[in-house]
Amino acid sequence: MNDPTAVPALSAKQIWHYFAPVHARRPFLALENINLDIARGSFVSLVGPSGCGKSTLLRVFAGLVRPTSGQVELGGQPIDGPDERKGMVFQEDAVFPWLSIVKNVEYGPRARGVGRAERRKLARQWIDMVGLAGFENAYPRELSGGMGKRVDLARVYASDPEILLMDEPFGALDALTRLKLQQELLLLWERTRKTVVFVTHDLEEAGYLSDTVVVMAARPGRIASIHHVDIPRPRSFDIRTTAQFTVLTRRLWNEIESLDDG
Amino acid sequence: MPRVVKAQAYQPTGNAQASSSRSLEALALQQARRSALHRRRQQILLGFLSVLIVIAVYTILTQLPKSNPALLPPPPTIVNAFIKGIQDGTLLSATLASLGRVAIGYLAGCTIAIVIGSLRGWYTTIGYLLDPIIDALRPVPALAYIPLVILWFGIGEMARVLVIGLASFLSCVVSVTAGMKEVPTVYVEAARTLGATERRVFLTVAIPSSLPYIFAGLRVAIGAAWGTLVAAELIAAQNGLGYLLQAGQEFFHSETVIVALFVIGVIGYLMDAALKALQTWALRWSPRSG
Repeated sequence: MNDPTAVPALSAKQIWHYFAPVHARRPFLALENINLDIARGSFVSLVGPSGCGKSTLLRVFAGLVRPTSGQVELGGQPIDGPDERKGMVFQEDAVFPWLSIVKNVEYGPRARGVGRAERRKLARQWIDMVGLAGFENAYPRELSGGMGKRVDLARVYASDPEILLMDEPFGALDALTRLKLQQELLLLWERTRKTVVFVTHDLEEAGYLSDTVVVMAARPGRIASIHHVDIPRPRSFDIRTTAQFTVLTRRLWNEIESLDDG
Repeated sequence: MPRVVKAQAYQPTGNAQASSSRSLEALALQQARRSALHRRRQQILLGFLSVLIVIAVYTILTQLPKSNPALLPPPPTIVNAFIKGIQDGTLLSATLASLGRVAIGYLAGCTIAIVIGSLRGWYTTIGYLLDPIIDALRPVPALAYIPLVILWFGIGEMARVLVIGLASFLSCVVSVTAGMKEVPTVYVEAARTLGATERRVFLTVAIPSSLPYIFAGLRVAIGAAWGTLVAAELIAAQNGLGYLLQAGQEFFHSETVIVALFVIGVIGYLMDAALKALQTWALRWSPRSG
């Protein structure tokens, strides 16, 4: 018998992906030979300059993009198209504006055929967890950007995915709200221990949240280096002022600066 | 070490004795309400004023020495014709006959427009299949089909309803398709990664997301359907507001023509207002509504 913990949650094997726009003279190499294993229960960030393919790689993991060649596996099984096992949080506002908050959070369970009473209970539980109790019947337009992101998080957790893919989820938020949501995401992650793959531009955000930071380079999109973050958990705001944290972000910055000569 | 000065609590300045902040708030609220009320009053007042001016100018025209009362019936004659029409039931039965035709044609035309418009907008292959036909039908006004409709279906009720249905369909379908093309990708991808099947994405994301466009189409179509009514009732109708118009012209009763025009106008306005109210209610979630 194989030890199930030995199988990585997510694994990319020799992924090559070309974009072939109609008017381009030749196809654009978005991902060049990506090999990456993501351990079950870990928090991994993908960082890198624009055009390094980090969002494309995330969409390959989600099954939203089929790579030109190579294979991605979720728990050892090949990924073929999007489904609820690969939950995703987007940078844009993805909360359905025509559904109330509770109906939004119920969407995943409902699509899977969970009964009315049970999915309502599940939704309330996650709405409480992200601190939106009392807003169950509000429509998204009545909520601020930060609250909208909380709904997004509650919705994707209520759908109970095997892995969570986050594409710069806090990129459009103001700095203060972003700090708060980072804190809450850490809390959610520590409670559920679901594997998270997190794409960001923000090196401090990557360092603060992650076990592993994958630095990617552009033209062609590829993995440049992998950094393990051994800052103990649970982490709080205070670690940002420690020497260990500053050294880490400095190292990530040096790494990215050295790439950006092309 | 840099020193951080202790934070101080903020004290609002101003004449604190004269009025508490609570009464200031009440005052501001009152002020805001008053100015909103004032704008609303002004709108109603000016609206009435413009109607009064039109009636006054018309009355003056009918009183001119050279004016012909058979062509420009004075207001009392029109009011009498209206009252007589209500009393002997001709106006009501004509209105009901027209409303029935429009209701059937409009509902059928718009239902088909929503089904076909959304399918061809959402599923590319269905779009490739249907676009040439619909895009070829669209530039031809619904009225232009009347001769063919008469040849195929005769001059019965079917022909009249068909023309109204065609007019509704043609003006509604474009907007529905446009709505389907504007569904934000992020909603579709969110639904897919939450485990929705393709069919569920269509029904629970594409359709509700394009509701604002569907309602825009429904409102254009009600205008088109009502506007086509008169022409449709020229197809050998024995009743209806269009028939009343035509009969008024044949018997030289200009007051009947004016009364029929007035009723057509008022009902058209009321139908659009009702649809607008329904739209506001159905789209109460939309950031653009209310």
